[in-house]
Amino acid sequence: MNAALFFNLLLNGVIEGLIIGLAALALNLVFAVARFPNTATGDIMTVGAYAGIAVQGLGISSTVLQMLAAVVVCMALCVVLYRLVFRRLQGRSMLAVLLASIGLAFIIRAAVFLIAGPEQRVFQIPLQRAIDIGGVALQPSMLWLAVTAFGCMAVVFAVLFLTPIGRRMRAVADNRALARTSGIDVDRVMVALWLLTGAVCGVAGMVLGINTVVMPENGWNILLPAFAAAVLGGVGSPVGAIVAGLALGIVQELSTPFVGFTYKIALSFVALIVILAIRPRGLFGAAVKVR
Amino acid sequence: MSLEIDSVSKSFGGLQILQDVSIAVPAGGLVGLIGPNGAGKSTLFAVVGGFEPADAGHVRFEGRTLDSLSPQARARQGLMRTFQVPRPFSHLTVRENLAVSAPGQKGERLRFAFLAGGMLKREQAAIAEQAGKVMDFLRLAPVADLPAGQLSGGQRKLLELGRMLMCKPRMILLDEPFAGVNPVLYAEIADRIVAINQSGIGFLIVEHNIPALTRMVNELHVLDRGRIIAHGPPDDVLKDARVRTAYIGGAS
Repeated sequence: MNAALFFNLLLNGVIEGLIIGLAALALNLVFAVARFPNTATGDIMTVGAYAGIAVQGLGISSTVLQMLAAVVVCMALCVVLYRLVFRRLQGRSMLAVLLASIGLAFIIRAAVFLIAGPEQRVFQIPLQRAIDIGGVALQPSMLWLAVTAFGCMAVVFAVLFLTPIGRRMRAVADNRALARTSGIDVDRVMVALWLLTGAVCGVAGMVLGINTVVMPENGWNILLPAFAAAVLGGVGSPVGAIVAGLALGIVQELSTPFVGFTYKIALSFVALIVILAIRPRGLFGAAVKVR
Repeated sequence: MSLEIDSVSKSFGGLQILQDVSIAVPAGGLVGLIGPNGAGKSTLFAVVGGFEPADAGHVRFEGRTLDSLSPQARARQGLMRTFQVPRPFSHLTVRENLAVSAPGQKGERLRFAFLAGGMLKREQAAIAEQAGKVMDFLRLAPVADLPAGQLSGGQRKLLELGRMLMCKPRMILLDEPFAGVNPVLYAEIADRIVAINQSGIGFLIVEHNIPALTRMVNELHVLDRGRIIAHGPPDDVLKDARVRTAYIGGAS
């Protein structure tokens, strides 16, 4: 593998890793505060991408506005799911909520199929000449995707660690019963959590859609690597989700010349198993958790 | 009287735990409650704090009957309780533990997270300042930025007092302030409790360590098998024959 190929794969890996990382971040936020693995995360992302496509269909070509629509739609969807389903299941076993989220994932995907149809959609991004750096082709759009993903993560961390509502989210994640007796309005904190999660899903769905194509299975397909990243990073740890997402994305891409396109996902799971054998709590388990 | 426990009775599954218990704590008072294991002290605290309903009798605070109020509602009225084993938010720092405990924050809404106006900034600045004062007062300033999970038993007790102080209560039900604390720190904790009391906050304290308790309080009640068997100035109460029998005859 020559240097140019290596760096091209590395770049692809970073973008793919950021997408996995964002999805894992959405998973870990919910897991830390609401205490269940939300398997509908991927399909919420898909809805975001289709919201962007719908805005494009209205003749609005601004990616920023499309992204904004995706974020708003996903935030609204998450709050609706919380109000209608997850709030009612609070205090039930994790398995019950997990199964409910799997059901919701199926329903959301079926609805997307029904409304948008099975065919692939694409975001019409104006073609720009790739920047050539010694044989490494850097697409300006990739740069923007990376900046957006990092920006989204920065916002999440700023909310979590620099604002009063973030402090309350971390308090609820830490000890829900104590939060309640301390006069924290847990319901309000949960709504804020789902709004934040929705925003992350919206950005993640758009970045995924722009980077590849938009299909109803997009989000579902990213769910397994996202879970792998969430576990690898340490369940409930937002920092871990991103670091592990990046690691998995890069490992997947760099392995393609050796194992081929078909097996690259398998390789990232081999990495997952190896690391978990060494560090059962994940890379950032217990150390930098939200809770 | 500020806190009036008036003829409270409570039984669990046919077992009478509290029988006609009456205790009065004046505003700004410092009152102790002792009793052998199983006397019903924890149940009494649960009833007064609003965690268990009483079968009979009333709890009044500043003239209001609290009987139907939740623990949170009682806390908002100014009556708060601590727990035997302090439960801080262990991944949050000491400073964050205090700040998050301040009641009625507008900044708890997501839409205010970044669009913080002047009012909100002032609110957060006031909370930060109050947290700073509480930490200085409780001598927690050196550990302000440590996760609360790393604190010693004694420091956790102080932090729990601090979390109460952030809510500006007028009466604190203190459950075993010396349990799980290094004896070297007893004097420090007693000193801080007395100092808080001198600022006008009343205390009803349950404690197993009778010498440590009697040095602080000016009135002592003794609960034995669900009944108050003696009350008055600590020295008199401890000389009481019934109290001596209860402790010698009791499990502890």
